[in-house]
Amino acid sequence: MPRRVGRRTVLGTAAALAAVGAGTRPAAAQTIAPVSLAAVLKPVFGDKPIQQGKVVLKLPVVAENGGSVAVGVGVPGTEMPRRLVLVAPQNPQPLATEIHFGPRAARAEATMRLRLARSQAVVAAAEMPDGSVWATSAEVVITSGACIELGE
Amino acid sequence: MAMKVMVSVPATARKGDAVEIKAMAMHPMENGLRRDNDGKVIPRFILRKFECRYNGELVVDCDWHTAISANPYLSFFVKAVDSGKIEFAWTDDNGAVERHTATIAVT
Amino acid sequence: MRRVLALLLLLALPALAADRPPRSGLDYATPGVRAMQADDFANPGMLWVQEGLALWDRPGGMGGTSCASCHGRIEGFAGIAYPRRDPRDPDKLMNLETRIEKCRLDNMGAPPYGYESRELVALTAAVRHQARGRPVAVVEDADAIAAGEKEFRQRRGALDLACAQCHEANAGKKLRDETISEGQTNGFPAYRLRWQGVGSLHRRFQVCNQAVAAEPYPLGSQEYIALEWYLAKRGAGLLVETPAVRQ
Repeated sequence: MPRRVGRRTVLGTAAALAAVGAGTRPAAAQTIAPVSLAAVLKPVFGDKPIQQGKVVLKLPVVAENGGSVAVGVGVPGTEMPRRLVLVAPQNPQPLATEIHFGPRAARAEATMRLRLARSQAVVAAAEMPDGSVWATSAEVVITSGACIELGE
Repeated sequence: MAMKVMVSVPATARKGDAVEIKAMAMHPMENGLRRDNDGKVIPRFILRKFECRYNGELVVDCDWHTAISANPYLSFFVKAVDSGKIEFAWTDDNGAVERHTATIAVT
Repeated sequence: MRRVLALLLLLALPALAADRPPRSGLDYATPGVRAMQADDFANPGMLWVQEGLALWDRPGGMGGTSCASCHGRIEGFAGIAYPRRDPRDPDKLMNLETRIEKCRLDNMGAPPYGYESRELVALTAAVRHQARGRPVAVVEDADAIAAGEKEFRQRRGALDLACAQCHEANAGKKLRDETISEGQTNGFPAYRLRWQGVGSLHRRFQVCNQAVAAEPYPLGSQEYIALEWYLAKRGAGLLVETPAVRQ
């Protein structure tokens, strides 16, 4: 595991140290671009109309590490969707997962952890048995840790 | 594949209950975008599919892409119907499959 | 008289600060991190512990023995205290990692795993996990602990910073978006979100050294083992959390 201390590390740390005690304002509170559900979901659902609602998406408002953000997604009620889709539009590869529930699933609900490249609005969509597509989005701010580490 | 996995399945459940299952696997979920210390791209290597079956019938199956965190975790709910096996399968980019089986007694 | 009292109080202040009970990194962690650590089936560090438990029983080396062949059940190691001195060479400090490596080489006739190898990290995590919920056990050794404290207070690197300047003088304050912890060690080996895996305490030391642009010591070095010893003593009373989840 050879590691070298690069110029970026030194500068980043110096900047970070200058900020000690500067308050609690998130330094990396990048602005979150507004999201168009139709545009984000087009690669998955084509030109199908996207309606808002039915699907529920839970994300923390602030996450301490973009590598592991807890996400809950589901369709409340007894109606099982054909599939649930999660998209992180600001990721290099936006489609995160596609979930199918079978006859033994008690609920159309799952939690997992996503890797998010930056602060963004994550999109969840459910395709129902009648073919209709329902979607929602939720914003999460990825904060920055105290020190810049190698490999970041 | 001999990958470390962990699942949480209650040993017993009452018929008709919705039972929470948790499944986790030790895997880097290398997204193919990182570089090593020599500047070479580290090839993509992820678990691309997860499936859970209960006495042969589907509970959930997922396609996973690079936005799924390392050491992927999933929780979901099964309907406790009958005693038997709950089977888990993780498939990686090379098509290798890691399986794990838990038993549940439904009363 | 009042002035004398005020002066006495002022003099007592640093001592009071030093007497404050230590706080685990868990106390400084975000709710997301705390939730991950609280559930063994959501804490990915438990995957390493599971692997370590399997390694404990795995035969290897020239005699085909395992850890279990000599040491019995891993649960018996719940009270074990490391670092300590090598009984055959008292000038040499050993931590759990270097002890396991030595055991493999000397007693099993097996090749050492390598300090930050997945196997050694997993096995160390499994042994430490046996003590989870118990106070960290510390061997009393004034010289070794003093040597470790010297490392803790030594300014180093291009930023000319000592461990103590962040983790003692500024613990609890914000550095960018993160709250600086006391740098307690009771959760190691720990699952770090940044590592996306479990790593050793010495790997964590190296990250800190690099952050102040200092040349890190090698993993398993005497300097790091002394620092590990001092930090264990400094955190006396904290409960073992291995495998902790940290940012």
